[in-house]
Amino acid sequence: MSTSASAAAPETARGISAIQWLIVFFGLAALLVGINMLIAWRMDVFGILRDAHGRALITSDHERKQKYLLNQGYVPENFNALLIGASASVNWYMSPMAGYRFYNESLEGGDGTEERKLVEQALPTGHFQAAVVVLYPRLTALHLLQDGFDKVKRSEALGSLSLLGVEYDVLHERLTHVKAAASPDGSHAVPVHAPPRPTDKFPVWEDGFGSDAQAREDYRDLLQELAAKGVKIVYVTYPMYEPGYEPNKEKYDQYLAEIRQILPPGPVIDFNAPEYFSFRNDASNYIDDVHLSASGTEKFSQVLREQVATALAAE
Amino acid sequence: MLFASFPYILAFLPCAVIVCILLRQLAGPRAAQIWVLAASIFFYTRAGYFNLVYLALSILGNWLLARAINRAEEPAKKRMLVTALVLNTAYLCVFKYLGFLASLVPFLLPHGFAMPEIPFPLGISFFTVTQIMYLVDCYEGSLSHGSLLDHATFVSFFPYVISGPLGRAKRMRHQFGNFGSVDGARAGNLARGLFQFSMGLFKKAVIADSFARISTFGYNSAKNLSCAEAWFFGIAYVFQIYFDFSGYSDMAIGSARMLGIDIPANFDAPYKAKSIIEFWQRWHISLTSFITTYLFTPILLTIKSRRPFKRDLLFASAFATFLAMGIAGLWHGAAWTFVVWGFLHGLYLGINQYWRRKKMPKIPGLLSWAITFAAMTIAEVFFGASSVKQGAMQVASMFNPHHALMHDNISRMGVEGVSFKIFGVPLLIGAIAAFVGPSSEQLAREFRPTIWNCAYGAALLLVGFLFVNSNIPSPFIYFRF
Repeated sequence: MSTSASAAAPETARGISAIQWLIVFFGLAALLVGINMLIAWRMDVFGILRDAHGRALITSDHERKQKYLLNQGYVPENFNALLIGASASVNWYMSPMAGYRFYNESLEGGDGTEERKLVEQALPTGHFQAAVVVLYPRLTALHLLQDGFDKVKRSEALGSLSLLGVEYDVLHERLTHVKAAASPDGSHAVPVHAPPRPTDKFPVWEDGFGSDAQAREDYRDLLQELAAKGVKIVYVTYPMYEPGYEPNKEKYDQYLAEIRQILPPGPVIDFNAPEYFSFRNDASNYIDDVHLSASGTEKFSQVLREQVATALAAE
Repeated sequence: MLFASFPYILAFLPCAVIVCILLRQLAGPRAAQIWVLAASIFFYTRAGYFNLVYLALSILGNWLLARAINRAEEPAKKRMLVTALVLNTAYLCVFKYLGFLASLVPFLLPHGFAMPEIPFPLGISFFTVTQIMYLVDCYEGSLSHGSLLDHATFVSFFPYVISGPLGRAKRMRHQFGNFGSVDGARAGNLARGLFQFSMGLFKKAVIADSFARISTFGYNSAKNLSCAEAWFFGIAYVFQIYFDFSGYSDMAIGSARMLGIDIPANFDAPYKAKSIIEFWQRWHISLTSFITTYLFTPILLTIKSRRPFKRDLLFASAFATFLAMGIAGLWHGAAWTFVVWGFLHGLYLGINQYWRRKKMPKIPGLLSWAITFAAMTIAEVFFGASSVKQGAMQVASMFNPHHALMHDNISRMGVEGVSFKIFGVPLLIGAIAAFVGPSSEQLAREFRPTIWNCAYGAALLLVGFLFVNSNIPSPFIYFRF
């Protein structure tokens, strides 16, 4: 008997005919795809398959793609203010603040081009009133679309690794009652990390220092779009760890002066000003020269909310 | 159109198979064959219509040459074969090697002369080689030139036209009567093809592309590699290329089986090999067969009666291997990295032949395997590198004892988007599957329809879909050849 012929006929107790195999295969594949899509629809972790209003949705490992999809429905439905920044602001939380529900659009290793692409998903349907915008050289130093951010499809909400990642985190939170690292306002806790040591050396930043023309243009265009829609813009600078800020101060100040010239006008809250020196000089507030520790975030977010509320009230 | 894409899996392939089966039932096998040829042309032109012109020219030209060879008598017959081989080689060189050859002799070119940029026809390396084999078979009388329809169907057959496996006309043409045949015994082929396709999709979209994340990071972002990291990234590329190409081959063979055609296996668990000779018997088998028959043997026959090889057949054989592998390296691409890769493999094979023939002490199995795998990894580093310098630097790091176990670059991967939480499981499955248990080729060979392999195949397909829909898949490595 030929191989083909033997494949067609059942030979063992568990053997089936080729025709039966094909029927079961397609039936099973359709069933698995169907179950997956049903779960995807029921959980709808990106808020684009069902009504997203009033829901609390989080992100997982594929932060970029997830925030991209969340911005297509969930963010404009549930938030009226945005925090636009990079990795150093991913753990800042702005709520509660009277009248404003902030969504944190910051991305790990994000840049101005990515922020533009992200926020523009929410602008067509959103009614945003305020935006806190971070002034940080990293945001205008490069224009990479990382982690497949340049080709996110809505169909990923029906079955993808991004989807599975969030579904896993949501189920894990529900079953174990252990709070997920990410919050529904787009912020997420950074991993526990030892604070900088007094002996640590912080070099002068190199690598472009915010000089990428494309990223600058994208960041400027994004903010001009927001300003044109009547969104109140408040700029903030990162509170840098003092030993890391000191060697970069001159270049940093020069960068701020330059970037402010091309961005729409708005008040600036400078957390590198002398009045915040004691916060910036406390190593326990940091995990490196720019990223805040959990306790640092707690203290800083409180101050940030107060300062932003004052600035917005004055606008 | 990529095999690991929804347009191919959910639209093109089902349409090609279903219409082929229906046409066979309604109008006979010839109609089914014409349909497959039309589907192949459609598939091929998805990458650009200009491709079809070059493919059509090559098909028509070679068929006319084969017809002339079949009708001629010696010595004109041999002259025609030589002319045909020269023309095919020239055709390949014009598109693939003109710039590379010009870079070798810049002093002969006029000052400021720039080579014209000619679009690279998809799969030219593969369809040229398959037709060289066809011409030689016609010359030797083991094959008639056949009809133009048969030849066009053979060369343009969509499962292998772009990246192989390299089919031989004498093994393929007699099967063309099977197109669309699902009656009785051949129904098993459809199931077997689907099963193998699912395994291939999983290997490519899930495993290879997970390893690609690591190897790409290694080549592009890693700086100052330690010894451990150089091996880590090198091995990641070794796994990537195996699962990428063997996954592609599984999908190609599976697609062909669904249409009723058997095309040759291309891989047989190569990383289980305990010698480099054995490795090449298991790796890209259709290319190995071509190298042995059409490069190594003619070179050996040419040199063995000449000095300095006249008295030492072993030396002649080693030299022929070295040269044939260098040419095979160049066949992969017009770059010195491929030439270095080919010569390294030629060197390994020469040493292996010498070791065997001189009956040197037998190396224990595990050590033999480790040496083979390490040697192959070193060669593969050059294959994936963008320049010989980049490859040489990574290989130098592999033997640098300074901070040998440092892993800063590996730690940095997590921060820069290569998450082990997501890719850890595929990486683990890949590493185990490459070394332990039956290969997908073996599973397909021994396939008998059962509920278990049905569930297994459907699950692989679903996981493959998830990865394809996550925009992770990268292009097949062999597409650029």
